[in-house]
This record gives sequence, C-alpha cells and structure tokens, in this order.
Amino acid sequence: MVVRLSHDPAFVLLLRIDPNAACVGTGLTDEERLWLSRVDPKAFGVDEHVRRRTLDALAKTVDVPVALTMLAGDGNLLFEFFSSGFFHRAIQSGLSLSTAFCDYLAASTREGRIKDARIAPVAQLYRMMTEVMFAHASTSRPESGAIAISPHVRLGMFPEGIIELITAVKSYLSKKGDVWGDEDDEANKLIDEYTLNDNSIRPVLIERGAVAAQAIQTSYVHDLIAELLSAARRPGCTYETLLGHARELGLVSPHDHEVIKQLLVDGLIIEGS
Amino acid sequence: MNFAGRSASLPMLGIGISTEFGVFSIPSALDMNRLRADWPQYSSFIEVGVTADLGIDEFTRDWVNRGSPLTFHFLDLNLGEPADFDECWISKTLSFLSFMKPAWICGDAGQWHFNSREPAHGFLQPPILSKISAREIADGIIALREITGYEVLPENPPGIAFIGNLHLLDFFALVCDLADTGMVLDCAHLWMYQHAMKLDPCAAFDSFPFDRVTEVHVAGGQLRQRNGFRFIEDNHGVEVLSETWEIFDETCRRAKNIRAIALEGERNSVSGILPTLRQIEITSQKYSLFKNRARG
Repeated sequence: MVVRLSHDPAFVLLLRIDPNAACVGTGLTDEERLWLSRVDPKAFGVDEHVRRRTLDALAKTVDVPVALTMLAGDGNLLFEFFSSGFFHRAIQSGLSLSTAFCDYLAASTREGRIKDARIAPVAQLYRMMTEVMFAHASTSRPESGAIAISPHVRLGMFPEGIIELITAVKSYLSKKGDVWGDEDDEANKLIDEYTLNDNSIRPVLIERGAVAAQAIQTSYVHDLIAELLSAARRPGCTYETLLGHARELGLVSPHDHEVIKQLLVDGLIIEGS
Repeated sequence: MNFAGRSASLPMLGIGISTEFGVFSIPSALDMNRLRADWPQYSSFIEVGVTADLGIDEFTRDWVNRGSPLTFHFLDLNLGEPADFDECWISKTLSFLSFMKPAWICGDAGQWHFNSREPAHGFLQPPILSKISAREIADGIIALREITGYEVLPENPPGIAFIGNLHLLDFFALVCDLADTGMVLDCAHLWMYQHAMKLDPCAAFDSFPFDRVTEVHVAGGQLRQRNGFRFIEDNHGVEVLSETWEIFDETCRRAKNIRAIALEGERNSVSGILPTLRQIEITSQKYSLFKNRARG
C-alpha cells in the first residue's frame, strides 16, 4: 500500500475519501486500516522524485519501448503508468513492475494513446525479455523423463523488422547515453525508416545469456526450430514426442536426432533429472 | 550462549565511516586515503554497503587486503520475508563474507524492495511496527545468523510514514529479544521517527534495552517542508541536526556495550565532516566508550 500511495497522488486521495474502495483486494485487517488512516496523507507525497527514479530504473530494462514513446512525443504517458491498473495490480499482487510496464505500453499503443503503433509489438517482445531476465534458475524444472523449454528462453511471433528496429534504437541510445531528451536527425530516421511488416510474422527467440542475466539475445529462428520449441512448451513432452514432431516436419535420421540434441546442447530445452 | 555472552567476543571497532559501491571514486566524495593518513582515529573501520548485484568495489578489496576492520551492511535483504533468502542471494553473500570476514552483519530492518529483487523495485521503507512484523524480522535475523555464522544486527530504517501500533523503540526491543541479538541504533533515523510522531527526541528511552546497542550511526539531516507538511530528510549532509546530537549523547550515556560508531557522510569532503567526527570523539570519550579498541 505504501508503495502505491507514494507513487500515485490520486490513490492517496481515494484512500482519504473512500478507504473501502482503496483497500479492495489488499487483505488489510480493520486494525491495519486504522493504522493506515492515522498517517498524515501528505507524508506519502514528500518524495517528489520517486516516480522519476522508478521510471529511470524501468527505462534501463525497457529501454527501446521507452525511447520510442519519447520519440513519438508521448513521454507524459510514461508517468501515467503509476496511476494505471497495471501498476497497482503489479504492486498489490507481488508481480514484476517491468513486465507490467510492458503490458501498459502495449495496451496504451493499441488504444491509440501512444501514437507509434510499432511500440505494441516491441513492448510485447520486451515483456518476454523481462520474464527471461528475472526468471529464477530453480523454477520450471521438468519431471524425470520429460523435456521442457528452458525457463531462460521464450518464443514469440512478431512482425518482420522488429529485431532490426530494436537494434537500431539500441545503437542510437548507446550514442545518446539515455532515453530522455529531444529528437534529432537520427531519431527522425528511426521514426521514418524502420517499419514493421505486419504481413510477415516470424518466430523470434529470446534467450538469457549464460554469464550475465541482463544480456538478453533476440534472434529470428527457423520455423522448424520454432515448432519444436513450441512442442517442448506443452506438458508431458518427452524426447520421443519431439522426435515424432521432427519427423512430421520432414526431418529424417540422423538429422532428427541431431536437431534435438543440438537444442539440448544449446540449452534451449532441458531434460528432467 | 545468549547475545550478552556472544557479544563479549565482538571486536571494539571505534569510530568509522560508512561506504557504498564506488562512492570513493567520485571526485567530490570523501578522500578516505587522506582521512586514514591524517586522522586514523576516525577511520578505524568502514561499514560496507553491499548488494548481491554490485558486490564489492576496489576500495573495499584493498581495505580487506590490508587486514583492516569492517562491517557488512546489506542493502537488498527484506529480513521479514523468507522468500527473499533465495539461493542466488545467499550464495553471493556467502562468497562476499568469506572474502571480507566482517566483524558482524547489519542492515536496515525494513523493506529494501517491494515484490521480487529487480532494479525497478528498490524502495526502502520502515517495517510495520507490530508484534507480528517483529516476529517475522526476528525469524529472519535468526535464519541469517545460522546461514552465515555472523551476528546480525538490525538497524532502525529511515522513514516519513510509519504504520503500526508500537513505538519504534518498543518494536526493536521486541525484535532484539525474540532474536536474542544486538542492534544498530541510527540516531538520525530515530529523530525522523520521533519528529514524524510529534514526540520528543528521547521519547520511550526509559523502556528500551540499551545494553543491546552494539553500533550507533550518526548522519546529517535537514528539516524540510512540502505542501505545508514538515518532515526530516535523511540527506547524509554535513549538518547534523541538534536533536540527532541529543539522541546520540543520550544513547552513548545509556548504552554500555557500544563497539562501533559510524558516520554516514561518505559523499562529503574531509573538512566538511571533521567537526562531526570530532564531536563523536568527544562524546565517546565523555562516556568512556572504546576502552579496548581494535586498531585499523
């Protein structure tokens, strides 16, 4: 509650005028609500820079969607995140703020509030990147005899051109130093030249680096690899299941086994122990 | 063995300075080499602020390699949340401790981050001042002590909005009793609390177990106002508020087992903090603290 109150002045007002509405879904007891009511509401607003600091931290992870939003002239919408249901639900439910922020940007673009339509698929791709970045190694181990996609890998379908756009924006940001600030010629080039082809949707692989969790790699993958990884996502997948899929996709021995073994060696799929 | 018995073997560190990753590389920050050379009595130890992500900087490595004393101050552990004691954090922290060999572990007993440990989730806030919360934090202290083998001293965090039904000192008295541990009493943070609750600087001192105070912090602060609301900002500047000094003096008078006093002023110049360090020294001598100090 304190995090929400510190980031959103509108929520502080809601708590004051309708505490029951503000406390919906929080699980606070009557006694805890009483303690909260004793705090001067102005105490939650003393840190005038908290939203900017949180946004700066989010912008380090979700750099390209933020940069594109700024270049579209919709930077004010970034701060409106803290008054959105996406923010409040993430905080209250114990979820990742980076992931919620990506969902917010994608939804705002689809609703037309952010003008650059490219931001929706880029934010969705970044959502997968944040899931991979913050996944714990101990989660999602398959049971013995089973095969599953690695928790450090995600597979999504995105318009052709998306990786080129992200690469170009990252290159621009590395020269500029940060995501904030005014447009320049290079920025205008990014706005005009890098388009996404919604008529050509391609599978994109998102992988976490073996050494540094923050080093996320994205790449287009062959449809066959995408099919096999999708099969590995389904519950109950085994080596034999994947072998069957590989053969249905046209692979013959020994290539059927080789492809699956390579996916294991590359760490894209994992076996249960 | 209870804490009273265990603490007898804790070293007497004296007066020192807190640090955080990379701070002594900042040109305008404290010149620790100069402080160490010219006023060694004020740099008897360093309190190293550590996150699992950033680890230890070159200054700290050099300090350790010289065999100089230090304490380990975590900056990213929510003591009251068992899920926060994850494999990755424990593994990295144990490796830091193995290298640093601190006198003890300490850290603000509140919430360093909300939800899981991610860059955008950093948000230091005080604990809920209730018996349930005290139990949760005490359990965390016991767990960390068992995992690491080091004494774990909770520190009262800074804050503006305090929630709960216990006075902060009563809360930490309960934590220390349940965990059978000592604590770091931060005088500047305590004044933030007393001011927020419209109390005198030394309110609730009579019922607090000062024999458990092992370390004391002093830091600069500033009275500020926003939209008509007055609050204390914990700015770690050169000016220590008079109420903080009052709390510090009374703490030193009552607490007979203080083994370290850290000034949180690493972003200021040597000349800026010398008066404060001198005052700390005068007070510590007034109350005969540090009779058998370890030399750095």
